[in-house]
Amino acid sequence: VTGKTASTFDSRSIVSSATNIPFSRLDDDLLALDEQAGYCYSLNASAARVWELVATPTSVGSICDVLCTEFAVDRDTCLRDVCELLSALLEAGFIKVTHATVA
Amino acid sequence: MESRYYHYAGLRVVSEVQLPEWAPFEQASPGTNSDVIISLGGVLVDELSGAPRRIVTATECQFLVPGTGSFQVKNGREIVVKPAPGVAARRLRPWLIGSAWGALCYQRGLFLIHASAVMIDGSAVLFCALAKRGKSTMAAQLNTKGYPLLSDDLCHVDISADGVPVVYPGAPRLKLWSDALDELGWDAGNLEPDQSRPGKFHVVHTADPSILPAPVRAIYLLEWGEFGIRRLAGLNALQRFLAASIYRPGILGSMGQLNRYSTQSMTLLQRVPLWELQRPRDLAMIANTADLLITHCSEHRMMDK
Repeated sequence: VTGKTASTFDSRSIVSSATNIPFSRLDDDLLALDEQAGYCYSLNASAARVWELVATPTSVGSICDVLCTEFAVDRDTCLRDVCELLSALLEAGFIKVTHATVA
Repeated sequence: MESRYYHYAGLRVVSEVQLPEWAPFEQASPGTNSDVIISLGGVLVDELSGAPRRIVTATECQFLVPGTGSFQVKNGREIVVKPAPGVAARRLRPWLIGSAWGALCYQRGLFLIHASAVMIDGSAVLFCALAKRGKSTMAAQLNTKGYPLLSDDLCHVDISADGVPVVYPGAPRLKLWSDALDELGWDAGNLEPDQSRPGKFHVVHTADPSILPAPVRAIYLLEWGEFGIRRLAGLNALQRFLAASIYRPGILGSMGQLNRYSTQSMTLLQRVPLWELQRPRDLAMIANTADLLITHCSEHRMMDK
């Protein structure tokens, strides 16, 4: 993940899932096997929660709102970690981003 | 040539080769249409001809065992065996019901796991391990304590229906290292050696033909270490299971089926807990390990209820 892609997001960016590869739960992890590419993608508990939230178009800010109430994390750290995760998901082609200008 | 009929691992097999290891699954008549045909014939691939010893594609697998014979497995339906001159049938069979059968099941897309399975209180417990980590020894020890052996070395697990997966009863042969045999009080003198590795033997047990496919309650991954059992979860569980449970990974990979196997494994692990069982690398501890395992099984059965 480069600095450039990491700055693709701010709290107003709208993100939503954009893949047909199904994730399924194995204990606390969400795993997706990409049979074509031969990869296994793995999301831990907090990343799995983000994945659930982006099933419908959601702003990065509201993702952080949810995570800050459900996990012991401060808002700045949360925003940074979420942006990092979303960058990785974007690079893997799992999500799409809309840059919202409306409040 | 006289044919034999078997109903094995959920498949109807007609064979020109008599398979004493599959005797509990032998049928008097062919029944309905056969799924698999095992025949003698074909061409013995000459060891000196420069031909590759193994050819594997998605639908065909051919391999040569020098001094023993060659095996052709086609379309998930047919195995053709060409014995080397003067070779005894008992030397062919381990390859026939091992590698060739495994390749055939893979061709059919069946979920074949490198594991042994024992019946404990009405359901199956599977043991996986990396090579030489004692999976057969564990099954044999439980067997001597009165728990029926369901399958050794290869387990055909069916995950197609919703709910608890089932494992088919398999060939009652146990591969054991000779020192483990001493520990169990069995005589190594009357056993057929496993040609692939010195010191390993096939012990032929009598399977109970009345055993039906059994629900799989738990999977244990055997490791050396301090006594202990812990639950493996998530990605870690999947990775550990894949590393220990694939039978002949080279063949599976050449067939382009590693992804399918991974998906099947994921489904299995969503429905059945995977435990890591560590115990000291000491044959004198086999009995203690079996006791630990039985206790663990019954505790978790209580928790399930």
